[in-house]
Amino acid sequence: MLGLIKSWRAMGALLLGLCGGLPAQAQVVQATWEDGTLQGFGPFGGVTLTNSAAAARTGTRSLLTTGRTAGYMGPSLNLTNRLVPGSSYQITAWVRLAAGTPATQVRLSMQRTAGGTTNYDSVGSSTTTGVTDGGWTQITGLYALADPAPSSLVLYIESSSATASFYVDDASVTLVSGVPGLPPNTTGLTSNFESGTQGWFGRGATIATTSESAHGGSQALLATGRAGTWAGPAYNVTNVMFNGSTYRVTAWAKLPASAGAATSRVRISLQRDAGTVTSYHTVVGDVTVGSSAWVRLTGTYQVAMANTALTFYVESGDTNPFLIDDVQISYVPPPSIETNIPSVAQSQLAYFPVGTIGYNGGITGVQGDLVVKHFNSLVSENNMKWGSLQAQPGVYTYANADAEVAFAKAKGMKLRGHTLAWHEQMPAWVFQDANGQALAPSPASKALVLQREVEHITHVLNHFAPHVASFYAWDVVNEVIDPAQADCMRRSPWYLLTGTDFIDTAFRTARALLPAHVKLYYNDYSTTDVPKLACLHKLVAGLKARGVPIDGIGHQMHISLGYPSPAAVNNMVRSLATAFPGISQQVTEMDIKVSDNGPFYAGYEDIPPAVHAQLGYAWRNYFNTFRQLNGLIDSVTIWGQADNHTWLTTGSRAEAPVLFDTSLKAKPAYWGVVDPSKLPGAGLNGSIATKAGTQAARVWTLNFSNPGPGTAYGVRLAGFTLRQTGGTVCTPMVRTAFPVNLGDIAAGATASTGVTIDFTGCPALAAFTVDAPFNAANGWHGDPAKGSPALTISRSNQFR
Amino acid sequence: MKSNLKLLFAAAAALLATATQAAVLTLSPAVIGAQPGQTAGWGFSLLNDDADNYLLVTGTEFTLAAPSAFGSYTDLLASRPEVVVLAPLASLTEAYDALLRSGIGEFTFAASADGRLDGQVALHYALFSVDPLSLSFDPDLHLVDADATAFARAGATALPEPGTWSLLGIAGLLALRSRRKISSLRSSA
Repeated sequence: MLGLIKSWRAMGALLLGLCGGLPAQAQVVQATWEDGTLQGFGPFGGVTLTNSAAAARTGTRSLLTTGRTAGYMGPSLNLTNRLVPGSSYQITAWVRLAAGTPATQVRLSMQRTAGGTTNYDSVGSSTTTGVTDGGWTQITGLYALADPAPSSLVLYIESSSATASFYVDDASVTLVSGVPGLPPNTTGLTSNFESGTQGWFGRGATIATTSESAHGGSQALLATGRAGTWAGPAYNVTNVMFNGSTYRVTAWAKLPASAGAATSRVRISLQRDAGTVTSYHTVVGDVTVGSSAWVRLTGTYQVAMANTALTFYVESGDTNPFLIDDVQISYVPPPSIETNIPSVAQSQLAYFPVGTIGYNGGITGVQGDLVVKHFNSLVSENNMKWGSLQAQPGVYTYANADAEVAFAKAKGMKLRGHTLAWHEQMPAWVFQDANGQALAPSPASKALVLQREVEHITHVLNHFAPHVASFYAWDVVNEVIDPAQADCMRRSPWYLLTGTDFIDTAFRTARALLPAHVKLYYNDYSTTDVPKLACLHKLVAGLKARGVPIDGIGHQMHISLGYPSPAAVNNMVRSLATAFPGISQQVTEMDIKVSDNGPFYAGYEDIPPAVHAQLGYAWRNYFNTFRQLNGLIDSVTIWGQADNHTWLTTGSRAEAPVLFDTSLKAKPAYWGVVDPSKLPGAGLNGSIATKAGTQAARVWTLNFSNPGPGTAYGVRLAGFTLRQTGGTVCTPMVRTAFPVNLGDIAAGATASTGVTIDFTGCPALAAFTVDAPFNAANGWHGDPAKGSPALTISRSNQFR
Repeated sequence: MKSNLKLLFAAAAALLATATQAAVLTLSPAVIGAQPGQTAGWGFSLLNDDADNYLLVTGTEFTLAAPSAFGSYTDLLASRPEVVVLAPLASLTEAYDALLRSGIGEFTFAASADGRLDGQVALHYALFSVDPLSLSFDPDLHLVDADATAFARAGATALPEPGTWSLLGIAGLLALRSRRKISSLRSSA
């Protein structure tokens, strides 16, 4: 009869699958042991398995394991070729200890062998003493089988007790979710609550639309009667957000007026149900919300979890009522590169190589495709730094750096090495004694640290020696200057223990190991700052005076919109070239922050097109400067492949510092380097439209036309000067105050402004040359002070 | 009806004025070339095809926002001391001469210039109903168009330096020689 019940249960599961729950093929394993066999289970270690009628959770039989002598020993099931990599499974077993066995913890584990390596994955576990001889305990967990396909996959059941005998019943392996692929729909969700609750429901709360306040329209959704912090408005997004896809999530929140001055910490979460397993995940972290204004909660979220149901909900750190409005969930397509645009590196081939960084995940897939298409030089972002290569004394880890070198060689890219001696990303042991105590300055400490430095550099350069033909530059020493110090030297452990000897030693050691074509660089930031530049001159002069083999200077160029000016870069490079004839100079880590002083943007999508336009023109102007230096800059490396991976973006501040956006698409910054005629408002021009009015208040109307492409942002007339070239001498007075802001001019549109001039005393035939400089993009387009070619209405033979 | 007719005439006059306010600019040659660091210029032919008005040249410029590393443009036509005026339907043709400073403008190639830059030369002018050089000219009364522009496509090519040609020639000769050597080795093997 019980067997019949089990059959009915299986039938029920099948029907459930047919009715839209799990698919019919979802059940991979269902072991009940009612047939008297071991049902494919075998011993894992030297144990005895018996089909037993002594205990059963359902039916009359179960699987008994005895003779265990180690924790890992137990029953096992070979699942090789039965689970699909990329898919997720719920694995369940009911366990009970043999009579008289002390309570213990029982675990479901997976022995997985792939690529010659065996891993032991945890699937699920009871609590520490969660399994007893007094009843059955369910152990379940989700298991996502990682790529690549394993050569061996064995599920086994173990316990904390090395000897406990236990029964197992009703074990199952169920497919929860297949390999993530393209989502069945990309519709997303938009809820403005103007027509009711629009499918939202109360999750432990009462929800209703309200007109008390609204972010957009006239209604919002109010959650009251919240049973806990977790309670609030919710939406079933099982058919909106799909495993493997990424979504842009935005919602607006506010407290009702009744909250007064109180605030709440509101967040957006997801409840994931997979089989019978439920878990909770933060989509947008806590944001402080009050009753005075609507506050936006926004973020990008990648759904990377198999599920049978997903619930999107808004909660807070208390149980107070809150309002939400204008909720939007938008599908973000997977990144892909544009194949029909010119290569950045090819566009600069006549001038210098253009490089970017390599990092884990940055040299594979579409990200790797982007690198190959647009760059011809590669530098490791972090994987060649001391802390990555030798975190522990004598233990070298080259796998990541080797992968980058192999990638560059395979793609025909040149390599920059980075960096051998730096005060950051250094393991502490380098400056400690054998007992882990910080070394005190002494001749012995100095000798020890220099010995470690030589050993490290020697090991690293010997390791990369087989690939040295691909390298053309190496940042040997990084950031040792501190202009606040009288001797210009940063008080790093290196300096405190060795003086400047660590610098000389690094260069001499590197020179002894690297062939001459690999140039050796000192690399630093803010090299345009006057005090820093003075120190740089002093440092290089000292190195050269001591015969230290330095070949070049690396200018990191981590800069921001507005500082330093392209002219300052030009002056800095020329001053070093003059002081040290023949020295190489490279731009080694360039990126451009939106600003040092704001405005700042919380999310990437908040950065307005006008700012992207400014960045585009800034990149144009800096690259113009590099090219104008006519060979004094012999390489430019951009410190980021795209905006989706940059050290400048933090949790609270988004930046767009490089050439491609977070979806790997070309930004104005790209066009600024490759083809500035494609920049927004590139064709902006001005003309004199009319002259009218009295002699004392003559108005010249100036037209500003934007033929495109794109909007000319923040157009302004910067000035207006008249220079007399004919007729009786007179002094016209320009009465208009400058700058005159004309705002944004869309592609194909024109804006006008009048300039009032007092021509009193000027005869009709007095002739003038007029110069009316104008600019856009906050001066980056048109203002020579920002390195731009001038935009000017310049006309001669002008009468009043 | 009378006022409608007036409007019609006004519109027709405006159209006519627009249609006649066009100058035709031709560059000779359209594409100039010089070695990096050197200067070359454009000669031009300018036709004032306006049957009623006088054309006064007010400026020229190379309009493409070129990579400034390529070089810089100098206006020759509008920067000379004497004004350039074309009577209705008159034309002016002038060759570029660096010494005489004749022509419409010149381009100085940057030392790093490489390849070819394509853009256009813009000639700005004003139109007057009376000759600006005549005694009866009144710029207030006789101004027809304060600022019009004629365009002509223009290119600037940075030519390889003689040294480069020599090197290329030497490289070619060496390649030829080495091929001959290889072929003689092959035949002797």
